[in-house]
Amino acid sequence: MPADVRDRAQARRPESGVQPLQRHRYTVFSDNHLLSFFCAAFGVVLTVWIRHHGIDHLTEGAIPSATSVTQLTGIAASFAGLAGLALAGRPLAVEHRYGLDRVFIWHRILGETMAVLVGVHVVAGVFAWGLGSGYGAAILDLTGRDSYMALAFVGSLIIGAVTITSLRSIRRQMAYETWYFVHLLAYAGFVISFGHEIVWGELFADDALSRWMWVALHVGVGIMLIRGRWGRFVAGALHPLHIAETRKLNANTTELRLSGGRLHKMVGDAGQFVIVRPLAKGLWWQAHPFSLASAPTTAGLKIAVKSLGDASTAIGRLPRGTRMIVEGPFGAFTPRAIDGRKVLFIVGGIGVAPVKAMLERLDSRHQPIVLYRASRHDDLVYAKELERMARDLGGELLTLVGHTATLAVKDPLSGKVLTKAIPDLKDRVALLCGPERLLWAGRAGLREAGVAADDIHFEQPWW
Amino acid sequence: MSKRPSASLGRRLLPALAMTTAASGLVALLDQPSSGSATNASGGTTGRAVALPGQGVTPATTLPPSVSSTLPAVAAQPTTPAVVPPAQVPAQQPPITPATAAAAGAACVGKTIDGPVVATRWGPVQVEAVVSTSGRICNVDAIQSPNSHGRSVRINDEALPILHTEVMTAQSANINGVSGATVTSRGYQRSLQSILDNVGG
Repeated sequence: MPADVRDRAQARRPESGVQPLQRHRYTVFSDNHLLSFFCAAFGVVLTVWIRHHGIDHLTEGAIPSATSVTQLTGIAASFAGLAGLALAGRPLAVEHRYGLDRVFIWHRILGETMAVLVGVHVVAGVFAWGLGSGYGAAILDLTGRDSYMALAFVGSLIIGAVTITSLRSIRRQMAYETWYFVHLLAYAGFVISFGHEIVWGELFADDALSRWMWVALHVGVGIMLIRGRWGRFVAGALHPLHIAETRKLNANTTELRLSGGRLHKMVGDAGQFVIVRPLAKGLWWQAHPFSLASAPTTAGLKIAVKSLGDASTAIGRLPRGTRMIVEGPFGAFTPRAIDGRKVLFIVGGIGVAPVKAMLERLDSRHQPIVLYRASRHDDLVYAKELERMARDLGGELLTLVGHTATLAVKDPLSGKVLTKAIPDLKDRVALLCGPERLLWAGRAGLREAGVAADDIHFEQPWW
Repeated sequence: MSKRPSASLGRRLLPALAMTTAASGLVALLDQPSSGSATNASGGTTGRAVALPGQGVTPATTLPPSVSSTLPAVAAQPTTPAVVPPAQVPAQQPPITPATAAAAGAACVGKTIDGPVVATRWGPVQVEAVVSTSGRICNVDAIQSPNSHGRSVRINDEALPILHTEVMTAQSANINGVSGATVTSRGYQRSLQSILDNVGG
């Protein structure tokens, strides 16, 4: 079996003793430089807009001001879109510092901003055009009678559709992949809209500097996307991991150890998660995030799979040797967030996995207290390990089992209850991991108990 | 749940594929640029052919070649002035400025001079002016204006008569121009100024 061959190959490596994965080195590069690049490019184009009397035109009557607004919103929409695309490329330095959840939330904010700006751009454009030649003619011109405008018009429709399908209420009703494939069309919307920017954008036609900045910006973001998003995917596909070991944790949770691939080159830390695409019939086109249930080492990545749906059930049942494309690890939910202080974990459901992984990397300074919420005793996983690890580090495991209605206290995560159970609560940094409801309830309780907002960490559900 | 995952790739791809098809169809349907490919935008040696698709107002206006100019596209200087009988002047006017031209032509006699072609962002602009010996502007007319985009044509249809009136009133190239047609106005002024400079000097 090729998997075994790969295992042996790795075992023969001279430095093969099981080692933790390299951690990400935090440098100022990338996030700061990326930001500076964006600001600089935006500054240049804005300067060109001003030099073309963009501001003066705003007060010079209907047509010049509407034209000026059209230009400005067009540029700003493109910038918001480009920044959003740059984030979709998951720049590692940004991601490791702020977490993939924040990256996606920014991506969403930028996307929504872009949609609004495109809307204003279209309305202002029709207005400016219509004042010169009548609205009927303007609409005909702008939807295809002028060169590149049909593409731009359809591009704006695509951007609109992508934005609407990404609104949470609508997105929740769609399968993830349905949404994802529609979302990919945003690339097409972006590409086909580019023509009208160069042909009709006076700033770019008149000014070589701004034109080349504009093109360079698009090319740069394109390279970032191809390398960061698709390149990483291809690299993962060329060196897939495989299931080396499976272990049943309880009736509906299985632990998988993934091994092989290029583990010795991976960069990752405890508390992070990976995005897994099993190369198995019916599953290969779906990617699923799983938290690492153990601090990642060159021996493999452990993930705990709880059957919550069709796919996770199927993944939990995959046989040994099944290959998987693994992207990541991602996330800023790492021991770095604790920074040598005493810590409280509030966990629920399968959120226990990353906490178990983090406990492996903590020391006695942290005196970790783990507050583990579950509705049934059977649902608890890793309880023994957690208890032992927490006690070894001078902390403890508190379990809180049962439906809320059957508990002795009405709201187990209220500030009062938390303060009573954990006297030194205010000295602790709190990390929350679990279902969304638990996160918000826990956060509210901690704030009530007087824990500073900066000391409460959790990754928001970005799905 | 002993069955395989019920979701299929095809079903999940369907909306995206449908959208792609709809988008491509829409582009194919809509993309009918009334651009300069159909009209004679670059040459301009035999006047201009203005196509106004979908607008029955001015179907097509073809001007006769200007009397004296031989190389308008490359003319950096006004070409050799040629005396034109006044009776001929009104006949040369495009239909958009007939009244003023006829009225001016009766009282004012001068040489018809073609200005240089001024290249602008949206296309070449060239004016032709009838200037009397005393330096009075008897008439002015654009013999070339940006026409490679439908929008330019419609804007200029409105702007050119206004520019004409402004010049006739100001009797110089020192005019406000038309807002919304800044580019054409600037080209118009430069081409006219060149004629006036040559007459004066």
